[in-house]
Amino acid sequence: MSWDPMSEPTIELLARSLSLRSRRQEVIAGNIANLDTPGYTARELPFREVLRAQLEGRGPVRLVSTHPAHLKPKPPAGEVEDRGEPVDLDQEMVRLSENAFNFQAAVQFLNRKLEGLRTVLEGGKP
Amino acid sequence: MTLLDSLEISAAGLSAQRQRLNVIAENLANLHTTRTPEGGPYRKKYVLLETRPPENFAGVLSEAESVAVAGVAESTEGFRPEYDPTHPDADEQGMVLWPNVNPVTEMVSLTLASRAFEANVAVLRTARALLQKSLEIGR
Repeated sequence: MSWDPMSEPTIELLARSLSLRSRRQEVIAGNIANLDTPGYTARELPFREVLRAQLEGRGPVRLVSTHPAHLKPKPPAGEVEDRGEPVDLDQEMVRLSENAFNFQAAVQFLNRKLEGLRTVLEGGKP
Repeated sequence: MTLLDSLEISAAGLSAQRQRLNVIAENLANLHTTRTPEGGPYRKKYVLLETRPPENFAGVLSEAESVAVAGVAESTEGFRPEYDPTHPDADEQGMVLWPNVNPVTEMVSLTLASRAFEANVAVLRTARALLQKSLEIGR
């Protein structure tokens, strides 16, 4: 059985997860910065759904630029949702800590995984 | 890098809230100002906030919205008249016009603005912790 440590599915999953978590952090920061902006409605990046869509290869619809002078507008249309309600500070703070916690957990998992790979590469030497 | 953009958005949030705090301080300090360069009593001021994409190149591609001060506007509410014929700024009928600043509303705005400021600080701290954590990958 062949095994390629460079295309390890767990690492791929964790890397995607980290990148989504940091995008979600940005969206939450935007919500809290716009706490007092009249007419602003809260945005959300539904982590689970977006990650699943990415893993199944159903990425967001991307706009194609056919000319070098084309400006590229916000591309991942359909990933960030407008919740259509005003920002609730307490809810956002809960989202913020949940997101941060999961980010740190993913980093720890990734480190364990890399540690395991290193052990294999070093042939189990101490 | 989205975590760095998150820092920038929170910084924009902080400066927007600080601007609000400044204007609230100005309103409260001028609670009894009857003379202004424009003539007449002081008018209560508002800070107008608006959403804005982050101000770097990635802002064009960004999906989160930053915030900015759109401007400072004056309240159109009428002045508070009070009968005090001995006041140097009283009119012929003995009425003095006081600024349209309501200290109670200002204090409430002050609390809200400082709470929003702290919320942005919390987000900033979190983003910093995540950046720090991401440096530990592979250690």
